[in-house]
Amino acid sequence: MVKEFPLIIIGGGPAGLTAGIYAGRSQLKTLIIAEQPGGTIGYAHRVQNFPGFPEIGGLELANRMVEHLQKWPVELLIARVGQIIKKDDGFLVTTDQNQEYRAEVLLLALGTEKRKLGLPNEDRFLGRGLSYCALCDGQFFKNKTVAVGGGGDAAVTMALYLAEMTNKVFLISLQPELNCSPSWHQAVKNQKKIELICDNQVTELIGSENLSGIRLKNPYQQQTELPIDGLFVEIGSAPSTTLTEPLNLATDSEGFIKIKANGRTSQSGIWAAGDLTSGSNKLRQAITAAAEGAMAADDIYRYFKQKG
Amino acid sequence: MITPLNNQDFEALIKENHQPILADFWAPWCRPCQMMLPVIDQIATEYADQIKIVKIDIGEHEDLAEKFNVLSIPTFITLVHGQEDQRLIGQQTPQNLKKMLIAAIEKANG
Ligand SMILES: Cc1cc2nc3c(=O)[nH]c(=O)nc-3n(C[C@H](O)[C@H](O)[C@H](O)COP(=O)(O)OP(=O)(O)OC[C@H]3O[C@@H](n4cnc5c(N)ncnc54)[C@H](O)[C@@H]3O)c2cc1C
Repeated sequence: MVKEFPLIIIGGGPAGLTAGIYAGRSQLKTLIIAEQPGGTIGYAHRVQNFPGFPEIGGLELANRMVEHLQKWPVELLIARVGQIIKKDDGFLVTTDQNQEYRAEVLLLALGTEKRKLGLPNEDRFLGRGLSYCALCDGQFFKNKTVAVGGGGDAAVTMALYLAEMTNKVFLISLQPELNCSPSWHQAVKNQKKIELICDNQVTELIGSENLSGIRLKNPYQQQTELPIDGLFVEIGSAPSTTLTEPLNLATDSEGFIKIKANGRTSQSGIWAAGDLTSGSNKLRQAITAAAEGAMAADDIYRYFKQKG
Repeated sequence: MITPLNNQDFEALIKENHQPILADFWAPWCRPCQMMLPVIDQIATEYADQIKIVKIDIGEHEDLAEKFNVLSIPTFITLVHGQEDQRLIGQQTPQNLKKMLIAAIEKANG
């Protein structure tokens, strides 16, 4: 028999978990389905901007959020949702393992997916010197030379983390200046192992079996080829459309789901919160995701209360 | 069965074992590796009689990571008669892993 819930939250990052805590406190029977409970914040090396934690490891913060949720009577299912179908009386949600659940309303808190460089041999070098996860793979590059592609907060923290174990980190930013918070800017300046290359871009991955270098768009110290042992990519992210496209939700020009202040999307019965929305004025952070999750859950509670 | 590699010699383990091996290169600090744990458990039960799963913590076995040219975790390598057959890098669906295992089992059975 298909299990039924008034509310199913898909995604268990800061947005989904906060919504879950609010729904639990409102005694709304809720199921959270998340492939990775804790979400993307678990990949952050150091988090310094979540109130209550002057400095905390991202994974610890993610785990604490999951533990916090578990204090409330909310079911958490660790699974990947493969399909959402709109029915007359709600939604049918199917996981990759073919488990089916019914929801009267949905809250989408799926986060985003990392952008790739879009270079032809990117897949071939993945795990051969190219990585999207410094926390996972940094250890393989002890005392080596690496580059980080990107110039935002996440790229800068990635470079700072890698500088702790490597000999040198080239930080390659597309913009003429780093696009990170001033405190990270200062940290980069203080870290002598980081060499900043601004207004530039990786255009080619070079190597036979493993990556051995990259080609830059503009010459750096008269060279366009930069010999490196590893390249870490952190050039932002965008919402994945696989699940949401069939739901016909209004999005902005970059594919982020448009929401009202209360989290409602353009389709009735569907709320959205967190990094996948255009609701945070492009400040995609744990705190803004959590806030959107809280507001959406509160509005969903009001919706059920009004319905009686 | 899942065998964490402790102090044994991996080479000896490969030689002694006649079944195909799934070498799971991982580390406790790696989130995608942690996410693979239930998938690996499921596969270990399903293929209990046909495959041996060896978990290799790269923090403790840097030499093996280097020998197998592992530069990213999780990395899954199937070994048939001691030789590398296929490898998958990064978080995988159960389906992907099963495909690789079935290929290794078929190869091992000639
Ligand atoms: C390296 C790095 C460093 C960062 N540092 C900071 C920082 O210092 N401070 C800060 O505030 N923010 C930081 N961020 C940003 C922060 O991680 C995000 O803004 C925040 O995690 C967004 O929360 P979310 O809940 O919207 O999405 P996410 O955290 O991305 O969570 C998405 C959830 O949806 C699930 N999901 C996705 N698809 C499916 C599916 N099909 N089926 C089931 N579940 C699915 C995921 O498994 C996950 O549980 C950093 C990000 C990165 C990458």
